[in-house]
Amino acid sequence: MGALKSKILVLALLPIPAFFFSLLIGRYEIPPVTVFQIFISKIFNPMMHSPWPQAYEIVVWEIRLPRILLALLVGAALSVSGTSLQGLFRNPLVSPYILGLSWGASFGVALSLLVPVPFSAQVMAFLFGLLAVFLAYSIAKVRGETPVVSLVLAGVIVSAFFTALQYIAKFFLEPHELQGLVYWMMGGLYLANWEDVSVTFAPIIIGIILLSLMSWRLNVLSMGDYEAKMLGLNTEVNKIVIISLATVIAAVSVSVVGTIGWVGLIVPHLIRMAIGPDHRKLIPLSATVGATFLLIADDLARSLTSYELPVGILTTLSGVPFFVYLLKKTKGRSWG
Amino acid sequence: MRLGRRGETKTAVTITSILIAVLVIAIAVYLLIPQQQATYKLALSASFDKPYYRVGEQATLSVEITNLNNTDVTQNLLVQLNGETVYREDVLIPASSTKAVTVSFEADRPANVTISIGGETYKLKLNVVKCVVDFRGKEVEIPYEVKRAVVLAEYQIVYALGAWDSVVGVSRYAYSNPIMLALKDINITTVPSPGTPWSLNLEELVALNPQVVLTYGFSVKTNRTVEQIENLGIPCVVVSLSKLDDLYRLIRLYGKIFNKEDRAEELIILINQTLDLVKERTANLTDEERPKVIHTWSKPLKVTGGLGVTNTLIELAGGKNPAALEFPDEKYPTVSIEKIIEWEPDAIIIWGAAKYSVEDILNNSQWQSIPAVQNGSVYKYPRTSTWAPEIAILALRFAKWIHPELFSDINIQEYADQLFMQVYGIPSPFEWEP
Repeated sequence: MGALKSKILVLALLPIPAFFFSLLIGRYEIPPVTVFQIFISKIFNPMMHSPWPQAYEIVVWEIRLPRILLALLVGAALSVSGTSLQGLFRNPLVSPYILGLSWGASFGVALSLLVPVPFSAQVMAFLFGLLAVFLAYSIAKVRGETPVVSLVLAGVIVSAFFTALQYIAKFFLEPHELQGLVYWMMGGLYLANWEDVSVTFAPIIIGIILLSLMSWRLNVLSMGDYEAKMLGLNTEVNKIVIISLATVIAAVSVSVVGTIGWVGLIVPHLIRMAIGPDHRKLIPLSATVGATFLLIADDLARSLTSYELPVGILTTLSGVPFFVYLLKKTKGRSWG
Repeated sequence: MRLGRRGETKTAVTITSILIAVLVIAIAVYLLIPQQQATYKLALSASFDKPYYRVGEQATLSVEITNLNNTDVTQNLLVQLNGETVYREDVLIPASSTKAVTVSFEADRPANVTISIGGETYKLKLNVVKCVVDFRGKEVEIPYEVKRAVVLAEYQIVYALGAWDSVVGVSRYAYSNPIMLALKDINITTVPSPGTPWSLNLEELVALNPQVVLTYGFSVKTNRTVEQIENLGIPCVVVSLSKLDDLYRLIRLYGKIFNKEDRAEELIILINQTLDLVKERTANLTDEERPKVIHTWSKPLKVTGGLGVTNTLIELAGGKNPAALEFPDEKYPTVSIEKIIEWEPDAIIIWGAAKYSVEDILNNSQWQSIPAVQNGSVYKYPRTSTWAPEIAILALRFAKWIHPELFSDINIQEYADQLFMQVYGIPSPFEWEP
């Protein structure tokens, strides 16, 4: 038990060292001491006349910090969303995108590039992501109930539908716009600014807190619909609430940074293997570990080469071998 | 006596020498000792009414001279820009007061300003920025002399202008540009790249410390990149190319940015020489003499419509584009094979970077009824840029394919080698005469 506690403590505190490490690295060389000086003086004394070059301040405060915060937020959101849906669906292959969110969102972006719409690409991504999930849920609903199998199937149907729509949009897009859509689908945090952080902060943090509060219900739901009902839980209401929260935090992330794959699939799985199936621990820990995972992946994306590597591809490439290793090691035991 | 006389002479010489030496020393001392300070005392200060001016703007310099004496002083005020006098006037400064003098002149380039009066001098800098209008129509202020530019769009033009010294970063796509790779005096892959207009490492961009970024705009993603760069306080010149005139506009714009206006006009003359040759021979063709030509893009069914430079090239080269009649307001409409069969094009020209070959079209059973396929008039040009001076060679190539009889005397390879030598200092890296 002591070992488990210390494991939990380490996982919970991971983002803190990762945060400071990330603040130090980047393509623009700044002495580590200066980075901390800028960081501290900006927080405690923003009006101070800075003795360092203005470029230092721009790099630390306008480029690195918002990007780090956004990576933490999005990483946490995607993992918590994945954890909740995996628990709800009782299936380790579930990701935040299972109900068609990513395809709906990318169609929204394609549409905004193709025809003049009153919203920005980000708002379109958010709205169409939600629309896709809503459609999937409505399709899956049979006689007032939504069995897990129908939900998965409905997700497949909706994804296929929006994929087709998106290809139509792609077909008519200008090459320059098309290139933009391709980069958007690969996902990336390279344009992160304070506005993105302020837009995503509240919904993601509130969503994660609410899901944490629902975690004991998730424990019950993950035993199966029948058992949950036997225990007196209104399964439909709880399902709707959990799916909505998980979808909103993932949709907010996707709308700002594009579809970053695998974070929401591998991190929940990893935590479950490490500390067992109790969602009261799973949800907060997948937030901290997911945040750290995406942050480190993004550090690599922005500092390995002089140009940007797509972070979505890095998360996938680093996730796959690790996943294979864990699967072999535990022989798939974490799902009983 | 004789001895004594001799002794007297010697004494006289010695005395004279000493006297001369004393005189020389006295003169030297007189010259070396600083002149006694003027009896009056002045204090001088000056400032411009703006921190910097745009080229051609009227700069106003306010000079304040304070007379610290009890008597009026009249002295000559001199203002010089890089040693060149722009103002010279006697000024009367009443006793124990300050006199303000305003001097105006046209700010045409940055300069060191020296103001002097009565032995006092004051130095300051005249800061001048250039203002260029980019393809957004936005007036962008850039330093008079751009020494650090990051070029994410149309980098080969910067090289052709002879301004490569000022480039500190390029688009990652430059690493695979055949012309940039062929250049002798630079190794393009060693030039740092912060990415592309679609995916940019902002921190690397800031690390390159550019004075200006030249990039694409006019798409949602690239516009957002531009917005981010400008938010960091780096001026952005945005370009977008869709018709032949845009190339001239681009060359002149880049020429202005890098102070290579003369070379820009030279490049335009080089382009026009070859284009004029094409125009001269095709201008008087009647409608019947103009064969139907289509241009196909990444897929054989994606054709050039009425917009874009390839349609202009077909028309210049003495052809007519049936797709332009059908889709006058589109750049790259995708059509069905039946449409192409209906058009009966006499020649088909394939985009240089397309992934399919002339043989793929010639051997495709669906295309067999098309006159171009029957005559073997299907062509593919080298993977060259349409947005550079070599577009003139492309026009010549189109023309010789469409009207071989009119251009039989012309060896395109020779023209290409000559143009490339004049523009890039290398022979054409492409084969133009298969």
